[in-house]
Amino acid sequence: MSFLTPPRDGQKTPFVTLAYFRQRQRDRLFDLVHAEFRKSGLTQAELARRMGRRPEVVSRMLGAPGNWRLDTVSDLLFAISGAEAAFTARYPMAESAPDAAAPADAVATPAAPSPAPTARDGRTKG
Amino acid sequence: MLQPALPGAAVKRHVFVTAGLNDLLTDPESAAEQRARFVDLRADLDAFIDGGNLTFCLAPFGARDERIARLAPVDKGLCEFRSRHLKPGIRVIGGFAARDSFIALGWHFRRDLGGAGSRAWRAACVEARRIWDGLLPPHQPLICETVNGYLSNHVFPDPAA
Repeated sequence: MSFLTPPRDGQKTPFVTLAYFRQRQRDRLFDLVHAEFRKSGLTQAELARRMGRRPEVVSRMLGAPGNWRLDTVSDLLFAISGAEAAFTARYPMAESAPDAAAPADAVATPAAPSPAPTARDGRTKG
Repeated sequence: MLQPALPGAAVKRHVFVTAGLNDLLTDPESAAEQRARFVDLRADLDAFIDGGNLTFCLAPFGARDERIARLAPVDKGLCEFRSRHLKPGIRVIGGFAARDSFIALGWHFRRDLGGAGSRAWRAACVEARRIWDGLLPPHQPLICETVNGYLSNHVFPDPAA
């Protein structure tokens, strides 16, 4: 039996459940950013240049899913490939309790890229 | 074998844990004031099981932010799974029985292990290897030249960084 508890009316959601989903979100955002980074073929040095950050700072960011701020996630995704995260809610605990009110677990995916910019922007890809 | 805390979640890699660690991971409240620490570790291990991207350092004691790192001496086949988001950090010492299959042999708070190559580290590794040899003779833990031998869906270190 899992230690995770879905939200219930009138009851405080247990700390361990909230903490688990926080770290789960951090891991999933890390996955998202790393997948974009691997797809891009960029080096960390180039990413650092694009972000205007020191290479060791970017290296540390990409090393592990730390406590990234949303600004950091946004900066990373956009600098890597012009991407932004697109969130949808999902209900991972609903699989085990379909009648219960299940918590939302936001799934971030990179938004589909916009059509290639015009010649005004020198950063067209491909 | 550790099952994901979320029932029905995908299992793309495997983690085997000893009884003591399993108790802390399946009932984090039992860790009392350290419960947040073990919830985080549980979420980190579930991310491993889920098959997500992982960073891996081949050089013993060379890890900075990588999630998994090999330990010295390399020919003992031991690795550390590093859970670092909350303090105190936790190091789970174990070995890979096969690609994507990690056997967790012991855990330690990072603060108790001291510097690289310390007596505490050596003792922790000796104990982990002793447990491995008791559990899985004569199977040896995986020792690979590349990260790909240990893990699928990993993040390559960036040689041009």
